[in-house]
Amino acid sequence: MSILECKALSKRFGATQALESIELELEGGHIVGLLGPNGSGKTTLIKLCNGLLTPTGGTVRIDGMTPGAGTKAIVSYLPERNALPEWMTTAQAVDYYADFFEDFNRDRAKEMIANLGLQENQRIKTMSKGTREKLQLILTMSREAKLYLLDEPIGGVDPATRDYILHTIISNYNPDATVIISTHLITDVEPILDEVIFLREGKVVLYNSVDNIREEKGKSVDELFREVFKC
Amino acid sequence: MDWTFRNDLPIYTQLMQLLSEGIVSGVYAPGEKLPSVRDFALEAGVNPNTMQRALTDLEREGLVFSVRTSGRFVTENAEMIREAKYRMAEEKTKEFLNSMKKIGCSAQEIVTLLEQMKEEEK
Amino acid sequence: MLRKLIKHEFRATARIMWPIFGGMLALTLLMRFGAMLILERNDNFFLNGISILTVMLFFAGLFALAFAPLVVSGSRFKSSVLGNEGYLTMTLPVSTNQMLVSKLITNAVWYAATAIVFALILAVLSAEFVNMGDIGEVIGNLIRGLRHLKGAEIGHIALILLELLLDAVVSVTLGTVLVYAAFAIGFSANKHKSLWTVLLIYVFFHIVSNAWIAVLFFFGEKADRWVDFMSGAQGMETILAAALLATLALAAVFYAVTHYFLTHRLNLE
Repeated sequence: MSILECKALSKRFGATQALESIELELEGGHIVGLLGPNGSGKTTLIKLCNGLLTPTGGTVRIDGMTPGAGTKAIVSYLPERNALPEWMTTAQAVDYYADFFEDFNRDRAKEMIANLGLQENQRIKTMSKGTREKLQLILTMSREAKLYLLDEPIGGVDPATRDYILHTIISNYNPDATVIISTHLITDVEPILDEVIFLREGKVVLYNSVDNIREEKGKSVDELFREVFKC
Repeated sequence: MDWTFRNDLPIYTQLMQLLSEGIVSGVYAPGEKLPSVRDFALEAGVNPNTMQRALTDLEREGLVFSVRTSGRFVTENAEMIREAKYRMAEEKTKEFLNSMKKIGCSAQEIVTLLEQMKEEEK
Repeated sequence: MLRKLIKHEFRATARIMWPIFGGMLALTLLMRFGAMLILERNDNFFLNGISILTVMLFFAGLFALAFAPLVVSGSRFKSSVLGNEGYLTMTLPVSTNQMLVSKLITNAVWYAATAIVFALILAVLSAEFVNMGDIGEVIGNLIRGLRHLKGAEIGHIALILLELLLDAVVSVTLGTVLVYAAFAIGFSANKHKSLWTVLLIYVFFHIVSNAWIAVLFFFGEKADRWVDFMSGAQGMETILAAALLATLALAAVFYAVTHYFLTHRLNLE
């Protein structure tokens, strides 16, 4: 059973066709880069996978199920924005996740909070943007989910934290789980990816392994991206 | 171990190269237990699947062997390591000679240069 | 899951409701002293001014208190479901139904709490002028009055009280789910979300009140035929039951609309 299966998946907003006839099948045990310029449909695809949007055509299946309460229990989503209630403290946010997500690993969260220097009693309202992002990332990665959807996980953090985040993604690796990383910072992320998807104007223009791309084209994914999406 | 990678080659081939160098130079001693795929991938900062592929290929070449439930080990076959070292040395020498040819060095000049450097090292 | 949702819903709204309750009760105490000052006919302009101000503030506060559950509920819906928090709320492993029901239950409880606070305020204010014995007498008369309705027995009275309670619960739920529907539709638009929401609240409110007027007219016309049936406990029960069904139907419509827009037309930026 593939972790993610899109068949003729389409999404239209009024007159705009955000995604057109997407065909994808992702197996477990991969770290996949979802790459494309702004407006290419990356966020739309992610939202269709976590149930925030419903398709206007075709189907999307997570582990064989249509997005709903059942899939949300096995999909861990890191949004680009801060979605945590501002009045909560770090500890309260951890409790919240632990309460609703059965696959939440408290010990892992505790360890990461200590490693990244977060305060248990600090209110999210008083946190800097970087700290909030760290907290959200910790909560997302502390779940033992089957599909991780990370929307720009390393965009707003310093290089040291960036390394820590990539390190965490590798160490969380599980042959039954797949991580989809949507990002602009391809060079930083490329070493940890094994597959990439290029999206352009709502269509998949490439889905290949990083190794194949390097072997066939003799260049890195980042270089190929620049070539494919030249302005 | 310096885990630096080039952009134009698949990472798994570069990993194989780096690990082979480590084995023939003794960084990874004969019979030594190697880290788990995940730990190794973490150390190198690469995708575990990529590391797995590199290790599997090394296994096929015979430089590494795996024991079920125990993990992977460097081969204890000294002959095999010696042969691998020789093959790599040959490769590198060919490359070296090629680059020397590009700048027009003669065989004599190369020998003189090498002897000079050997003196300086003392 | 529903229990957890309700627990968290309370935690999030209590932060605002408790202070409102506390503030109003404090204001009530202030009001008592303010009222006393007025009654004593002080010639001091300053003191009179303060006491009048206190009274005005008090009534403003009462007004605010009455609307508090609805405003807090609507505001919470907007921020937790349609704002940035929606990215978390709408990806929790719960169905949209569970999420909505938890909010409506919490909302009903806060309405009940508000009613109790109103009663407390009344008690605090009238403690001087009325004694408990009088209140007991009033309640006793009320019950005796009910007894005199045609065919009234304890069973009927209990049923009527139950229907009244259910009517109250469904009515406040209707008000809240009406606001939810307006928000859900309004925020599915790309531009002018708040404008659309306000417009829809206005429109929906008028639809509901007009529906009620239409129903009353309908019953009024049939009054002649039903006048015998109307008086008496049975009549009362029927009216209350009919009102309950009508309100429930309207609430169900708004609920369905809200559910549809949240599952299929969610438009988080």
